[in-house]
Amino acid sequence: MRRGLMAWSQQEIPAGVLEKRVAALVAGMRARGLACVLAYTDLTRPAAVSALTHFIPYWSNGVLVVSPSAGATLVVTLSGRVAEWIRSTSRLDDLVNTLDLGTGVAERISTTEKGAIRVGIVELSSFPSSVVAAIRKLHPAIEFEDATDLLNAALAQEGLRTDVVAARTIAIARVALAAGAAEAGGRDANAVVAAAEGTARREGAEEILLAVAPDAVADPRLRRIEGAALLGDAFALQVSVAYKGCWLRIGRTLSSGALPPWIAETDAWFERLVSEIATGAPPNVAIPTALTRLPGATLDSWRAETARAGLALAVVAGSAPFSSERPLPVAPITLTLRLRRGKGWWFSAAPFVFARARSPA
Amino acid sequence: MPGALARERLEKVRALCRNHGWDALLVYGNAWRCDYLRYVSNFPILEGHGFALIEAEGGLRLFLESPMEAERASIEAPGCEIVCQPGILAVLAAHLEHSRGRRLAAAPMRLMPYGVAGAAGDALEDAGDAFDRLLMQKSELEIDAVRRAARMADAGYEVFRRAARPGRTEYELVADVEAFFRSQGCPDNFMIIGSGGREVRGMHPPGERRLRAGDLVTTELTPCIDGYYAQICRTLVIGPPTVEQNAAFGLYVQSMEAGLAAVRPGATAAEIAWRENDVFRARGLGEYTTNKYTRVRGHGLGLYVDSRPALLEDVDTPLTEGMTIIVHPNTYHPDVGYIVLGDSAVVRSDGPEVLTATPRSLFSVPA
Repeated sequence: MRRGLMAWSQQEIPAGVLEKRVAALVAGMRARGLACVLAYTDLTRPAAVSALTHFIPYWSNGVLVVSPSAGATLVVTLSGRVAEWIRSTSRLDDLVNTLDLGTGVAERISTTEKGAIRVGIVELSSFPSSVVAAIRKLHPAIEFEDATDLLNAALAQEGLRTDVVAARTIAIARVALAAGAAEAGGRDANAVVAAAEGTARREGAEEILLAVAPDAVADPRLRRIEGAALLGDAFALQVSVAYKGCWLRIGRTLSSGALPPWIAETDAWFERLVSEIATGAPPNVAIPTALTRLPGATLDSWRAETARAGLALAVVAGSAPFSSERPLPVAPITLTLRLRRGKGWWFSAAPFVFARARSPA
Repeated sequence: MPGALARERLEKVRALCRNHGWDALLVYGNAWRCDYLRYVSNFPILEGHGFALIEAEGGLRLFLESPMEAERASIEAPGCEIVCQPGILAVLAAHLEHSRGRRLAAAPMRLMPYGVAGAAGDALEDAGDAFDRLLMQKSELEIDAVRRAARMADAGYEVFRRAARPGRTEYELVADVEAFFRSQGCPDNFMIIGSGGREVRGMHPPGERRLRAGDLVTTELTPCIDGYYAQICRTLVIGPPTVEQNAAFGLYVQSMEAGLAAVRPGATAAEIAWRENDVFRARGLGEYTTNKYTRVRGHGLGLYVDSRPALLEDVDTPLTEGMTIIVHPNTYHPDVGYIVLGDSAVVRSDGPEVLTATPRSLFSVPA
């Protein structure tokens, strides 16, 4: 629910990159014979529309209508009074403010296309059914199909990555984690998360989610902190940060006193593993191999996360359930590992960017 | 307290199902629209899709898209059976397919993903209005949570006032407030801001603008305690207020107090809005109560920041005892710019119990 700095810097994400992404999507829809492609957005599923226009709603929801004739039109349930703000944070060809999202989208389609048409929808299964129903009401002959692969292909074009944003997001996450860790001695979980939160937002984070395992020896599961919570000798802190639409996580096992040697040793081991994966080693091979270098360690779980069509952070590989849908090729990867070593649990999460766009799976 | 609240709400949902003859109720939620899901399961979802399927006479199952959320739910939503598998929408759709022949209702239908609602076809009855009545009508346990959130809002505005000074960016100001809420164990807040003069037409997420002497700085803070939100809206000036700013602000105080004075069981949302807007109309400023310049004149509060009923002149929802609302005549003033003022309140039999205690002043901070 919280929203921090929301602003568009064309130095970080040039309008030309966004225009080329939309043009690549239009080329794909032409080849497939689609009249238009729709992508849904709200603050929980902003990735597709953010990648095409830089727009992220701080509240409410919207649908991006991309068509060969009209380009990128945002239909949004935010008031017309914030139209200026929307335009200042987005590259759009047109903007429609409406009280009824379904009708607004349906009418937008009717103004550009007539008759029986095929419409692609990014993440069709996640798209609000009420919008589908409103479109069908106005266009009974319309046919829908999933267009997630078209978006992925459009974003995979060479030269359209924005690594500067990923690098800035990683930098913010690191200083936020360090600020939280610096408060560990007081054993107050709220002091730790407050330091991480304030630091991330002062650095320009658009959003931050914080999770803590207060006593990592007894229970490694991460949770929100609400009310008072005391930290044990060892605890885990995970910081999930968004900056200009780019999401990633960072996390570590920390100590309220001096860091035990086994945690420091495992941290160093993980740093090497991340480096190997970032330079091309497949994680499902690299992780078992690396474990042979860490005596007494038992792997509990691992996962790789990145943006998927609509979702800013989705598990795309790992030991936990993950989606078979392809990740967006423009986002950084977060590798998270949890293992048991001797008496305690150890957890870490590290973000990285591949040297060349590829999937971690 | 949260455990007692969760049990109380679950019993009300089961009673709702029985009263309507529904065998089960399917509820959708995400981090934006979290209230229906939280009401049923007490799970504060942060990432991905979440669904709760509650049997009228049986268990409660949570279907979650994110495996991390599933692990968190194992701690934060005790008593729920948790389902988390790849392709969770298809998993849920298949489950509903097997439930054909039973009466199944769902809320909120407008956000229900196509992969679920499309698979269920016409089998899903819309439980939205009935569920919304549950959300609007608060018990004393719920009101106590809103009351504690209101105290947090007052404390947060103190931090906001101290943090507002020339040269600071809007987002740095917000960072101080958000860090304060975290330090108090408050896990969520909705907050927007505006700064500047006559050119400012509303509030928005924080930007890179730096505060300057003479600015009006507006904010609404909406912290959350045990899932319940309370809101406060206030305006301050960087430096001493001008005569025009003070005169304009006086109008908003009159308007809010006129609205609050009308709060009682049986009054409609429209009546509250009329009372607020009449104060503007009496000064020839009625145009500034229209949707060209403002959104609503207040709204419900609870497990969602902006709940029903909206306080608008065309909303005939009657207020009932125990509702929690905010009355805020926030709008543009042609002489000075955008001004906000709002207090959270409970509808009581003898009038409003105002929950926020920050003075209704146009605050001034050193330039």
